[in-house]
Amino acid sequence: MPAPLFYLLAFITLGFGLLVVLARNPVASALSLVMCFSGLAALFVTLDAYLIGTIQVLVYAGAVMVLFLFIIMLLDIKEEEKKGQRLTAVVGGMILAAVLTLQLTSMAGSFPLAKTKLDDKPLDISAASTAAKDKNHPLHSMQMIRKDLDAGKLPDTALMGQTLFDQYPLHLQMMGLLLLVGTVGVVVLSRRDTAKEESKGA
Amino acid sequence: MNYELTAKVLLLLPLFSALTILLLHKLLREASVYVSLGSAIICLICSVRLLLSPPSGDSMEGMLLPFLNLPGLKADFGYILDKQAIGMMFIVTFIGFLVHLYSTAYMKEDDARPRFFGALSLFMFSMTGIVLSSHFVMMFVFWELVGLSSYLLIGHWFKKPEAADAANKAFMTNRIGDFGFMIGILCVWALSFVGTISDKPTTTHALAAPEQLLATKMANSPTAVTTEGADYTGDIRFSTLATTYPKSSSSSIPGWLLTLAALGIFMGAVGKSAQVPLHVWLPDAMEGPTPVSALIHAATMVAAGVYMLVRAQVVIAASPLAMDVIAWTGGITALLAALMAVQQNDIKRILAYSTLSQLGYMVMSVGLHAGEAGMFHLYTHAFFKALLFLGAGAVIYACHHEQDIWKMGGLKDKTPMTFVTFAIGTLALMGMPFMSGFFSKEEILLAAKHECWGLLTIGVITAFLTSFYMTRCVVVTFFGKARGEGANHAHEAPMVMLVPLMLLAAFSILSGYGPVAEKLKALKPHGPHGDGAGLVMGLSIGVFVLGALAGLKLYWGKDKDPLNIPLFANRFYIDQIYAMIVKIFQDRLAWIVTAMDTIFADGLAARLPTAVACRVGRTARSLQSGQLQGYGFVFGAGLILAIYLMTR
Amino acid sequence: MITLNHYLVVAAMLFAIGLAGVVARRNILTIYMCLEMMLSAANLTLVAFSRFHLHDGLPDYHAQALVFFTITVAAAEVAVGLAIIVALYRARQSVDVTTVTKLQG
Repeated sequence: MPAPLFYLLAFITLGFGLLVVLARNPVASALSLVMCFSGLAALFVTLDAYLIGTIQVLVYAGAVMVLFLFIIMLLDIKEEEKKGQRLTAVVGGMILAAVLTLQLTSMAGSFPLAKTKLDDKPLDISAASTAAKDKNHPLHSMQMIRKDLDAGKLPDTALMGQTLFDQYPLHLQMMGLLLLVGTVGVVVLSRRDTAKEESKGA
Repeated sequence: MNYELTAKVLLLLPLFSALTILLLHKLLREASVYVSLGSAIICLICSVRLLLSPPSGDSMEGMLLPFLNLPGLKADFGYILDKQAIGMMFIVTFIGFLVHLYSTAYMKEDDARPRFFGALSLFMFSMTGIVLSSHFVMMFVFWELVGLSSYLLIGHWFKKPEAADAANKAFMTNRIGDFGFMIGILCVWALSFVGTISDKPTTTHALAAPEQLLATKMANSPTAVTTEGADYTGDIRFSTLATTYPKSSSSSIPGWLLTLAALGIFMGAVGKSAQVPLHVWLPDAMEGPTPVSALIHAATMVAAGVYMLVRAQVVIAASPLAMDVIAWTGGITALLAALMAVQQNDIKRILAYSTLSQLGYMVMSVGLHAGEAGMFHLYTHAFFKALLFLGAGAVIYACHHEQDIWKMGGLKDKTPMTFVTFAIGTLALMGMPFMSGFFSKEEILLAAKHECWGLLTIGVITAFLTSFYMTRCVVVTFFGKARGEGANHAHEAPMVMLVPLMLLAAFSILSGYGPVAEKLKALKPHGPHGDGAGLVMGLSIGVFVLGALAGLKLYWGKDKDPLNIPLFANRFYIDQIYAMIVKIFQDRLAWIVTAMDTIFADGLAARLPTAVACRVGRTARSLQSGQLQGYGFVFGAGLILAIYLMTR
Repeated sequence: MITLNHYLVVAAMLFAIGLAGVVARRNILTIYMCLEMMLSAANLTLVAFSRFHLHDGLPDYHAQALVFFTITVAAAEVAVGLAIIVALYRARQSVDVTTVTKLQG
């Protein structure tokens, strides 16, 4: 991957991320976040995580942000007034961000693989194809995946599906339950107390 | 005859009765009266049997219940059955039984009868405990128990503020005496070590003070204390006092310690037997029901002080100074109380002061080396004073709870039986010749004549006053015309109340004579007092006649008191003086306590921690701002700290 | 050339920006967006590590599965959180967190 592309994507991500924080208008913040997430999705793609990148765009930049915008519009939220902005909060936030960045940055270099270049460590699909020939390999029986691998292509979505359904079926179902609970919770939270309203009206 | 069983029955049956009534009074209701009465009858039978067939050798001792067994102090609950104990036991159970019987009628209209009889049983238990006590610690335990039951009975009508106050007063005044008693017991205990050690000349002369003796003895080896001297080392038993207690001060025993021990023991008696200056509780105790006054505050409990002094005669005799103090305290009490009695109008209070006066006699005789005379007077006095109190109760009952003698009058026709018995009791108390009081009083006066002329004078004056105020009491109450509503409609008491009166009247006469007196006499006669008996007899008959004549002359046919001596009527203002002293001390104490309170409790203990807690709380509160951003900041800072700590 | 370090630094900066936003901003919706940003930053590190830890020449899909779960939970969380914000707005007619100080001690 060419380095300028990475820097461009990183700049988009961070720059719009900064805009999210700086923009006074919540709509601008939301739109900046969309751009930020899109840049992030692109970064995922540069890391050969195509499915995750897609989901990031679909779920985050798409659904979630639409939800945000919807709520902003629904509540008709105006720009934040300037006068209330407290200096201490701003300074505190900046200091925290600076210290945390420094700390994490200095720490990031200490990982074993930190200095490994991305281009020096390409995906080795033929190796995977060879490994899958072993009877005990989890991919051995996955005919579609093996066909793709044999053809030298990365079956990213299929591999992701295989991992989720083969190795984390229970977790997946729990996720489903969680979403159900979340849905019910949202309904309960946003439901107006009709009885109360009526008594008030009467 | 099984003496141990008898002793156990005498001690535990009243306790059983008291506990039964306490626990089951809801269930028993009226029956609790008969539970108590039954236990009193059985106790009386036991003590009569003891009186008729005393243990051989006149004394026996035994163990009832293990209690304390420490190195240097072995104090198991035991019993001692000698002439003194058996005589006293007879008095206690006999009068106790009569009072029980009398109370069934007297307390008929009281709703709290189970409580009354329960407390009465508790008193019987405590009193038999005192009588049977074989050593000081056991006696002290029961000493406190009689105090408790006396408190309960004085305060029986606790809804009356006077009764509640009187109960408190009695209890607190006794506390003072009991404190001294405790000191006395401790001193006796310490000195008894000296007594046992002084047999061994090697250790005696090396050491000067008994404290040191005690200390070295304890320090040498604790086992030595228990093994040496067979069973008792620190001996507090009455039966061995005579041999182990130091006879008089010597080089190894300072005189002040002997005096302290004697006066401490005496202080217990001062409290319980209401001697000056702790006499103030007894007249107030008359707020209790009259049968209680008869049993506890005339015949038995107040006499326990004298009983105890006679038991501990060895201890007090060791200090001549203490003996003088005791004799004079008794004499002064006798005189003062008699003077106060002259001006009282409440029939029970007259008798109460008379009791004080007679107790003074007994104590005086103990101080005059004539304990047996004191005990004899105790016995005779118990009979006629109980008779007088129960008679007064019958009079009060007859006059519909009127106690002022000036509102009575002319009762001799309306209540003839009560009059006759009351008159017998009065004559016995006045010391009419050939009545029991005459003999016992004469013995005391005889002892006084031999020891000290001053006390003889006091005794004679007191006898005159006794004769005078009792004549006044009888004349005003029973003769003349009815002066009050109650007296107009007076009616004779029921038979249940009259029977005890008659029995007591019989004993008031008989107990001075031959076999009865011989059975009751506690100790062997002190030896002939030599001549002077004639003089004393003449004197006592003289003052009896003089007092009676003076009383008749002054009070015959009078409707109100011709004498008015505020000093006597107000009891020498002793109560007021006490109140003042207490007030002064209380104010000072309150001031100090307030200061302490402000500085320590309020300041150091309350304000300072409060201030610290407030400061800390306020500081901590400001952290809890409720601001989401604040929490976010702290969260971030915590994250940084955590990463720092992990990568350090 | 681009190393793992580059990605981690980007993720760290994104996270820090998000934290700064949470602390500094008062609009609860913005704060919420910043929270999502921090979550995504964490996802970036996960994906980056998964890419650099090759298994038989393939990325570590376990890490990516975790990212998948994270995104799902985040989506549910956003839904519930926004519902709470709506309820809050109904009660207070404001989305300014400085006015929400019920927890003040």
